Amino acid sequence: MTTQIPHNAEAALHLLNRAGFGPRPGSVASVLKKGTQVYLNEQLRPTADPALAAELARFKVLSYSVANILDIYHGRVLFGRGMPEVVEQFQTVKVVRAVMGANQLREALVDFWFNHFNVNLQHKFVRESILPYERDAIRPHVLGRFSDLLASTARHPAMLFYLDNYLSKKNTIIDGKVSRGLNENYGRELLELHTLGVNAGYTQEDVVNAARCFTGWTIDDLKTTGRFAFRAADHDSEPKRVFGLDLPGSGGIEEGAKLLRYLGTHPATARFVSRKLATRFVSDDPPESLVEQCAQTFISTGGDLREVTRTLFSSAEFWASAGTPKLRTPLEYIAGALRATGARVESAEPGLTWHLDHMGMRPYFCTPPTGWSDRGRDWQSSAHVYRLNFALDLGNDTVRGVKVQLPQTIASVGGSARSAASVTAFFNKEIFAGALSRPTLDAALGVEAGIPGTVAKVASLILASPEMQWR
Amino acid sequence: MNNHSSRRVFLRGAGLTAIGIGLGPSPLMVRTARAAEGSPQAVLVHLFLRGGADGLSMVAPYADPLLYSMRGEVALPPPGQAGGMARLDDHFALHPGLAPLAPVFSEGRMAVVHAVGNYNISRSHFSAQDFIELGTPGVSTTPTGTLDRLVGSLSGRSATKAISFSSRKPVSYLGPEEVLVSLELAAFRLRAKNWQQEAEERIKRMYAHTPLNGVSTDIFESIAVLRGAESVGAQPANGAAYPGTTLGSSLRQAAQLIKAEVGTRSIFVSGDGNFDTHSGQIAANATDFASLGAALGAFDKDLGKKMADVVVIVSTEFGRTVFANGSHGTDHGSGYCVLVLGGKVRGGRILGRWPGLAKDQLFEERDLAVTTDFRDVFAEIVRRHLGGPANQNLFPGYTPGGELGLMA
Repeated sequence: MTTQIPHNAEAALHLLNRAGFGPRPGSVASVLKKGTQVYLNEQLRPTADPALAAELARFKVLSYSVANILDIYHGRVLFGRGMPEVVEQFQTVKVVRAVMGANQLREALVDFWFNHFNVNLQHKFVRESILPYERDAIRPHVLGRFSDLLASTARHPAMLFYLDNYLSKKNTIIDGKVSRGLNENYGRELLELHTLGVNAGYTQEDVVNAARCFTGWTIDDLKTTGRFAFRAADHDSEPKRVFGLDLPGSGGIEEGAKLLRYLGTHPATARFVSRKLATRFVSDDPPESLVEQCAQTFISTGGDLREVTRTLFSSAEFWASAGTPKLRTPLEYIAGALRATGARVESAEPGLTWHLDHMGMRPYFCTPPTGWSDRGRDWQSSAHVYRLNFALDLGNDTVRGVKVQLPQTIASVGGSARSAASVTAFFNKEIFAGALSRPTLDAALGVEAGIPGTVAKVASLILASPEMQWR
Repeated sequence: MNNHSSRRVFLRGAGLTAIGIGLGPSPLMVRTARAAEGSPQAVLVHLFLRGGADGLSMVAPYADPLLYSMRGEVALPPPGQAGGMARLDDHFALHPGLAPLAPVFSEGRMAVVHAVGNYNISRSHFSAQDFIELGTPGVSTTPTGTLDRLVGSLSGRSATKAISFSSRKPVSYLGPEEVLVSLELAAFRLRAKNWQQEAEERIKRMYAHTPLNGVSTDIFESIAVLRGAESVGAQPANGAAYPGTTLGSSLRQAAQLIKAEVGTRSIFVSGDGNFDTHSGQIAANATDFASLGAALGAFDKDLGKKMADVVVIVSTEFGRTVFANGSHGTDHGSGYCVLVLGGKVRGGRILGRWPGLAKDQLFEERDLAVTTDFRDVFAEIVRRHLGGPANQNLFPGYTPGGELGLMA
């Protein structure tokens, strides 16, 4: 059920927290000024973001192809400190986009869909192709068609390598004995994680047959060009049946493409993907009614993710979730805290990646193809101590690679950093729309005034507060 | 006559008494172990190799020619050859990376259970891990994890009763019990220079009436315990040298905690590495099993006599296909092997019923068949080593099979 979108500070904050990485000072007022509905519409149709573009101009790797990065890796082109610097740049870019980007929803969706189609930087060739993967296979499609997103990940060398499909060839019979060429990895994860979901009812035979469709989908050269290639000689051209779809076997490369279109618009995929979106953006245990609504939009629009996302954020269920705590992931927490303080990120390395690593979420280092959990409760544990320490460091402006200038930030929205009370008032108004709890207010206001470090202590406590952990 | 098809490698007949190959326990060892059953210092360490570690590479049936004909170069050379495996008995050998465990096995502190798994086969990492960690194969909605139920049933209370060396709380600990989750105990403290006490008090009060209060309580209790534990941060004993991997670091710290005697009963260790070897298996296993072997070998050495309080279970979510795929790797399979280490383990033996590698002996003509439910391994160790609860609590809806004879 869609609803009239509420228009008040609480609603603005809810949208900023869920459809992005939380408010910056001034954000709530600015959303209120243009209207929550207008803001949502804008977020669903991202426009140019010159401030972010200027910020990102210093990261040269952003425009590099897989081949360019392979040149750096193999020492054919000199680039600073080599691959460590390349990796550092794209980890930094991830945080900078989350912290600085005006198109907050798009950044959150890129994070979501990258995670859905996870690849892991710790694999050798993935490290050289992961940035082009996110830029070319994920980013352009997060508000486009799911089938296009699926197809672009399937063909991307980063995915072909990560799930081993580049090695997969048809099985052949030599002297009456099977010579195995098939690799099941991509076929299985395609069904389980990318499209239908583990409970859709497909069989081991479906897994094998899906894998057979992609035999011959490979990478032309791992050391130089690193591009998608189809090798017809390795393709299995026998007939196959995958989850109700019959493929005659004569289709060559078109066979895999056809299977992707079939899976990409299948109702089971619509439900699986809808549940995942609702889990990430609305609730750890999303209402069935919401999943069903999103799935219906998915089905009726042929998998138009802009419309599915619109349904999600326009639903009564989404707006009813305002004020219900959902624990931020480590990246959401760190980005949220950096936004709240108006901090500038020079480099994610070594400060932010160290913190994220201890919290369990080093960017691009998720090992299994399942990606990180979208449920807040899965991030709740005593490893939370590392969040407290991040807050203490950030309040103190001792996170390496990050510059916090809290007095200037507070002044920029007409506040002052003179006292515990004025700093507390700044955070309460700008970041929490006045909803800080009595115990948090008391903890912050009780800090001894008039001694060096008062502002840092107050900021640290508010950044460590339970309210800051929720979105 | 072909040796592999006729010889009975294992017996798991009436009463499921396993006949060991290798060292049997001395009567003295049996008595000592019985006396210590359920000692309040008894600790379970579950080292979980996420990704589906290949049991046929960890403990390989090298005497079976089918191993080589089905796996080609993914199977390593038999003991005695260049790059060969470390012999355990006439039929089985350890991956060369696990060679540091061969003396632990022959000295009787390590047993192997082969062809372990669950009968509700899932070849999904996610489902199979859940089934094991929740202790309910086929059911992913169980509200608590096996280790949470275990910890809840053991007497005594301590902030450091349950530990996880990981960066997130594993599903094994899903539930209400307090768990210290950290990859680095030395960093598990509040970084509030000059206002430590004040920061702690203020943070506690902010969290007091929120859904995160339990987390805050766990953190500050754990910090207090760790502050008082002198052996945390101390050098390993007996010349033990841990590898510089995350796993090495985790086991080094696990040993420190066990020595500290701060009420620790359950330790979960996330085994780092790439065990999901769909390709390049030889190279991946060489790295990861070397880390595993060195880390476990160092742990055994470091703890010395204290190993009598400890049982380590090394397991994974599923095994891998018996045949190699076309990428010098193996795909998701079923049966795997479990290593069980401990001072009171009846070691030097390979337990379970070996299902064989012939086509008609495989599960779905591809996987090592499962012949021992993983819950039998856990239940027996919990009962005999930890003095743990009735098994219906530990594994809802499960009636355990007979004794494997893991503990003396």
